[in-house]
Amino acid sequence: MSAAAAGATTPEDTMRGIAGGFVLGVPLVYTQEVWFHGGNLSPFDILGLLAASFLLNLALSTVVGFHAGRTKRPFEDAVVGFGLSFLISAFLLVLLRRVDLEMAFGPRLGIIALSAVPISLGFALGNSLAPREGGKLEEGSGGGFGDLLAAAGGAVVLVLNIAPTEEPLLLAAELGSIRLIGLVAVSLALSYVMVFFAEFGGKGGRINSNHPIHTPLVETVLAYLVALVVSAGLLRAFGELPAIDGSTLARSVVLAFPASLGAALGRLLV
Amino acid sequence: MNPTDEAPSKTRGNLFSRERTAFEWALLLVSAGAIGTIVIGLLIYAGNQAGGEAKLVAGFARAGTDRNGGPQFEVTVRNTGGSGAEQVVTEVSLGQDTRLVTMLRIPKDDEASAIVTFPAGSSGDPELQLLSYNQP
Repeated sequence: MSAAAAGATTPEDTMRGIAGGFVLGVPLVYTQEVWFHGGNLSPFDILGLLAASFLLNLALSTVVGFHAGRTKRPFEDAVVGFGLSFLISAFLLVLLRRVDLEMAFGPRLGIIALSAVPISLGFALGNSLAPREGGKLEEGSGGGFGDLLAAAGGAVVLVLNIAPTEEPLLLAAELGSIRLIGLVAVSLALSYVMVFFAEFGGKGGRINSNHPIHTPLVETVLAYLVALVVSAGLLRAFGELPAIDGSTLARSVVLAFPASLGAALGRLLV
Repeated sequence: MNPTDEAPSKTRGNLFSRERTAFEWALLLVSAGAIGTIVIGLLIYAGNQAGGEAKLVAGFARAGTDRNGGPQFEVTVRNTGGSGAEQVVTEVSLGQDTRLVTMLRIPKDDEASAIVTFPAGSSGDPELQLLSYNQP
């Protein structure tokens, strides 16, 4: 093995960081005060916040990082985590139509930068998001159905503080069908990547399992449906689904995005 | 040691001359590019920023009629100032009828719009007045 390959950052490492970034960052991206303050804070205030965040990233990369077993390249890892967080932030905000080409250049950058702060911290904590050795759930305690229960639990934990807010309603009202379909696709892709690609642990056990639910495609789709049902249930509980119509589906899909991340995290933890 | 865990790099601290895979180079270049774009962009923005208070420009346009034949107008308020505005209140009058429009937030360099509807049969010259706003 060459010196470059030994200890090199792999796509799996990067996906762990990206998964951590999404899990910590999405709740803040679903906050309208961030949309507003990102466009109104002084650029120097935002730069100061970014500088402080970079130092925190550097510290976290020293003790945790997104590459398992390596905390010896904190500066490089912090640069990678910080830079990719801007790209994730921009991707999310474009997908959710919080920034577009009609906006002025400065506010657009401000919103992207502010939203990137928690994403970068999640990136630096990516390696500790789930146990490296995989979950401890045994076949006798539920098997594949236990995974779906864990998915429901994870979804509830991540979106319980988002469901009662205005943001899912605002986003659902403003997103067209193309973006909503995109949100479903991104939810499924991230869920798949987190559980079956990012090497958080337990991947081999899932793939080698005979349980029909542990087929990657089936588990990913079922877990998303669980997240969608949990989202609709929470919205209904908070009185945000008064009727069964198109807006019901749109609101549920918008909330199911963070819920699907929680569902993936829940499955990694069992 | 777990086979996937790696020994500490022998070139620790050697940031520029360390041997890297193509994937690592790509990650580093993309990340550095993203950081540079944001930081330089914010610095340029700071240099060009108008600064100062919010400056609101309000306008309206006829937007058709509702199902009862009531005239509708679209009110648009644009903020061209150096800071955001909150609780922006405008008043639209059509003859004897008036409508108040409250816009919660208008960031700087952004605009907000709303549709107001008057009762069917309302007539007169429409007028628009910016009543008040707060600066956060």
